[in-house]
Amino acid sequence: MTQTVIIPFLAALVTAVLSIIGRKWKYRDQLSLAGNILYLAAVLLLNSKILTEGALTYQAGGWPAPYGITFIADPLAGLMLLMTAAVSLAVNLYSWGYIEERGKQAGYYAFFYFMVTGMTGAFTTGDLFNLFVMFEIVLMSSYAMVAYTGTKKSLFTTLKYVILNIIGSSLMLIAIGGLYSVTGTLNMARMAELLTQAEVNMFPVLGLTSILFCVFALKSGLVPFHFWAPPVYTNSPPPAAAMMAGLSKKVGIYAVIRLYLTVFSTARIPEKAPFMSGRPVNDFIAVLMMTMAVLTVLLGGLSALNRDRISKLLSYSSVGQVGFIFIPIAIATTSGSQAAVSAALVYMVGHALAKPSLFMISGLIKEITGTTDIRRLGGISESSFLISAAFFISAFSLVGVPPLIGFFGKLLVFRTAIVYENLLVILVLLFGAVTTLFYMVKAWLRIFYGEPVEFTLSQVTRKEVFAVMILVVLIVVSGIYFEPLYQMAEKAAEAALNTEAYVETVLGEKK
Amino acid sequence: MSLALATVLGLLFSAGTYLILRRDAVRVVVGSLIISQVANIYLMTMGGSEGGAPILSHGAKHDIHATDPVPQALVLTAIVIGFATTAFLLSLIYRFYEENNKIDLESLRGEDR
Repeated sequence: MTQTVIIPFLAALVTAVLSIIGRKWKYRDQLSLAGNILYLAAVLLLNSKILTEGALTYQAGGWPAPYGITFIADPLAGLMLLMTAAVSLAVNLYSWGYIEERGKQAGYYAFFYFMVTGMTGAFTTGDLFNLFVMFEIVLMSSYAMVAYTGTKKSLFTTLKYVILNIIGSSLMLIAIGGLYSVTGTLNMARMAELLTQAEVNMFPVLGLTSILFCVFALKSGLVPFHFWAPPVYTNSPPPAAAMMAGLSKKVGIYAVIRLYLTVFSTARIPEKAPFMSGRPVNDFIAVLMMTMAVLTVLLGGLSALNRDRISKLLSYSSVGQVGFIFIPIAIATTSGSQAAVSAALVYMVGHALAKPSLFMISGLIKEITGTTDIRRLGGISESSFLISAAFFISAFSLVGVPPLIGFFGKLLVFRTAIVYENLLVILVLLFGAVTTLFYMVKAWLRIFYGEPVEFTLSQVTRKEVFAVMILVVLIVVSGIYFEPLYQMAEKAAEAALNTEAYVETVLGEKK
Repeated sequence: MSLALATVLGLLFSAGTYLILRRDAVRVVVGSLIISQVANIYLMTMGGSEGGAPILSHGAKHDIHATDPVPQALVLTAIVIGFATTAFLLSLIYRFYEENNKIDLESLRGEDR
């Protein structure tokens, strides 16, 4: 049954629509949670199918590829969906407790689910234009989430965020339209096949793929396109920041892995080119990617050091962490190394678990004490043990302390850099790791130790704490039982790098 | 024809960029709308600007090539997305004005920190 591929997408879409209709209904929280559990079940079903039968495709409307829109679920998409399902379930539960009545009546859950829908579509689509549409769905819901509080700050941030992304989307359209004009197809598998042929003019392909990379760099917040992220995360409610920093940023990273490692990896710079003639287009992209990733680690780490608000610190930290994910991807782009891709994927999963957890804890601290200013906080560990334990585990997973998942991510990324003997990259990674340790320890000491401050507010619900606990348990469990996750990441990396298998899965029925 | 279109696209892009760099928030919004519409026009030109209507101009009686219909379908989708973004952006600008009583972006520099 090939329809399994789109069941997660449909589950999210149906929940989103029901959330609009039932936004004033008494049981809308239960409804959205049920939708998320259904989504998780659909993703698990899809993953078990991928495990037994290999990659699956669904041709929308029965139009055979490359004429119709193809949905494809391979191990890479499966891993990304599993990550999305787990994290969104926790954030959903947290939102139940955190978001106030007014916000829920305005349709908070609908935006939440449209975001999940867009992400699911982006992970499973096999069509370049469809990817653009899915990106827009994610963006639209994130606009609403950033503007949610409606304060001066959040409106100003949203205005800048929307305009920036309109420019980004226009560039994406230009790149996609150009690639269609050059190759004559939008189907990613067919495009990969056509790019090997001599009659395709490679000069525009080189330029268009570079533009497209800049768009994805904007979406995933690489330096010099990182500047939107900190204000957006700081001024949106913590669950929305958790979704955006934890998941929707990863859509951009996924798109880079899928497009540059799978689809464009066959393209070559023409012999007549003044530089790098005859080498793969990816060699050029990798230079861009590596430079940007190195700068991201440096700048993100440095700017996180001296922040007084927890949300601000976490925002800059999430800028820097994206650099850690992109460095192995850049290495894989030139070398085609499977270990490098799986390192990036493991790191990505680790970050997707730890960062939302930290953002949600910053929301809890705000609720307990009424502030997120590190200078005015202290001694929380004495009053709320569970929250401080959760912060401790999440923060030290980000730092890379064994046996947490973050340790394996860091280990694999460092191993990749050492195997490829790039001294500069190793030094940058070390610098990034040290800064992470420094700012996380600083936050931990300032917030949870020292003189206890007087708390005036306290409205933390059990649901919120439980939601954070889900992520913390996942961080610990996936670290201790690392083997299954590692195998999934290996399979996903293999799928990402094997262009032939990808083409065969999508177009195979025709031959 | 292509040269004319390329010139028009270039001019519109520069107009949009110019407007986005203004201090007045409304102009910035108009500039971003121009850019997103120019991307649509560009997409149309990618399908070739000459040729007959798709499907109708096929067949033995006609000797002209049909234009590629796919970019036109893509543009329709992009227009709808652009429309939704515009609606959101305009209502956002209104709320923004209500909240700040000014639309001069320069005077709001650093307000989101």
